[in-house]
Amino acid sequence: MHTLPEEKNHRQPAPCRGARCLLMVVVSTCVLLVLATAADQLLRVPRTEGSAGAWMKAMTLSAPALWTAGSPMRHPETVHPGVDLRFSTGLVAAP
Amino acid sequence: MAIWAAREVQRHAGRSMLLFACLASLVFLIATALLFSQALDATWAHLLDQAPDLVVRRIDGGGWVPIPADDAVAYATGVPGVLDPTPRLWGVVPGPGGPVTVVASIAVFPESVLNGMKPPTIGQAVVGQGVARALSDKRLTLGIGNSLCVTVIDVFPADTGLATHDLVWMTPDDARHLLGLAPDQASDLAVHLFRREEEQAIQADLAAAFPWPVRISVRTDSVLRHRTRATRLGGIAVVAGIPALLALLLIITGTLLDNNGQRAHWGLLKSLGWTTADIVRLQINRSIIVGFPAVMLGLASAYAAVFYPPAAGVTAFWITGGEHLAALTLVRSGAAIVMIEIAALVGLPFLGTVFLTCVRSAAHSPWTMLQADPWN
Repeated sequence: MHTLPEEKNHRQPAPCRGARCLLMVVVSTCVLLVLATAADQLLRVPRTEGSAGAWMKAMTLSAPALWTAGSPMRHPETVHPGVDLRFSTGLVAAP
Repeated sequence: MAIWAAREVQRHAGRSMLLFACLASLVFLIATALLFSQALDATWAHLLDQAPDLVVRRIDGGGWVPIPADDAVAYATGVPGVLDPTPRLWGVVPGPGGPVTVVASIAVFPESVLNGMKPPTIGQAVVGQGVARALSDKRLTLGIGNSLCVTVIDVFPADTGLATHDLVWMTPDDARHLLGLAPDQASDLAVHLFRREEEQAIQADLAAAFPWPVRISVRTDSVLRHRTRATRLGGIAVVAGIPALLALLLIITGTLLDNNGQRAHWGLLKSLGWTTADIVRLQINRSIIVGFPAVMLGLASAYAAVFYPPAAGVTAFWITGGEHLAALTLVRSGAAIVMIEIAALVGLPFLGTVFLTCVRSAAHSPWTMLQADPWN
């Protein structure tokens, strides 16, 4: 089959395969990250928020357990207003 | 134009990687701290909403004194606005791995809370994840004076760690023996109010209703203390992030755009027929190809570091300096807004700097720009 002279002489632009591949990787990575974060927000939020609060209410606890037991942040009711804990470092751990 | 921009990225692979790493790490550092403070605030607000409005503790010259449970309930019930006064049996005692919070409840918990867990009987206990980690077998010895040895029959679920991490749940009789309380005594009294707004006003009435001196702690004080702490963490993160952001802008301006080789290349493009707008568009596209995934990667890493155990526990330990909770699960509501804010905080100045620098450099005549070639 003969090719037309115009087609033969027509110069194709550079294929830029590497650049296209890079662009595809960038776009797909971004879409994947956005979808993963959005799915986590939508699907996991209702499932994980309730249980700690239910135990907090059942046990009538006053504060969350992010700090060691016995510290004023864990048990705020044990802090006496007349004692300034800034000047008594030992009392912070043993109210 | 996007393909051309991708080719530009390939031409300067090293610089692009440096910029990518710089942007991603900056976003990660700022986002971790801001997301963590926001998540702590939301989690504390959610948890403290379940806490009793007021806690009444009997005191004397030596400090805390146990309260007679039935009498205290009778006194508190007589105060208008008080709902469901509940005597609490709890205390802090030495455990195998440090202090633990011993709790006991006279009330029977609903099945929705227990979720298949069996309540402890005499000589048994249910423990939190932090206590369970310190155990070598199922026997747990607590206290020094009135020491008690109990059998651990269950462990609180990992996702309840923020409430139960250091708890040892046992029967009221065991708790009274361990804490040195008489059978009719309790540690203090938890009070719920009909109207939460009255908690400041009702304190005087409540204190006057008891025949002994009491100290009343208020839930809103605790909320305020936690909120202040969370806000302070976020503020420190922003203050620490501003110099990093400025440094980033200087790096971009100094190394990526404003150099002679780049200007000569742009001059060549202009002499081939490109306009200034084309060159600016090319640079913006190139910056988006490098910057957008970097920002997304930084945000996603920060999200994982804050909300996914065990990384979340490590982050909490790093930022708060408190207890390392391996299975820390923070509330995620509001995280999307913070992530969008951080993306705008870093992304917009970045694109703005690229645009302005590029316009300034590319607006000259092609001949002037070609003269900037370092080989000339």
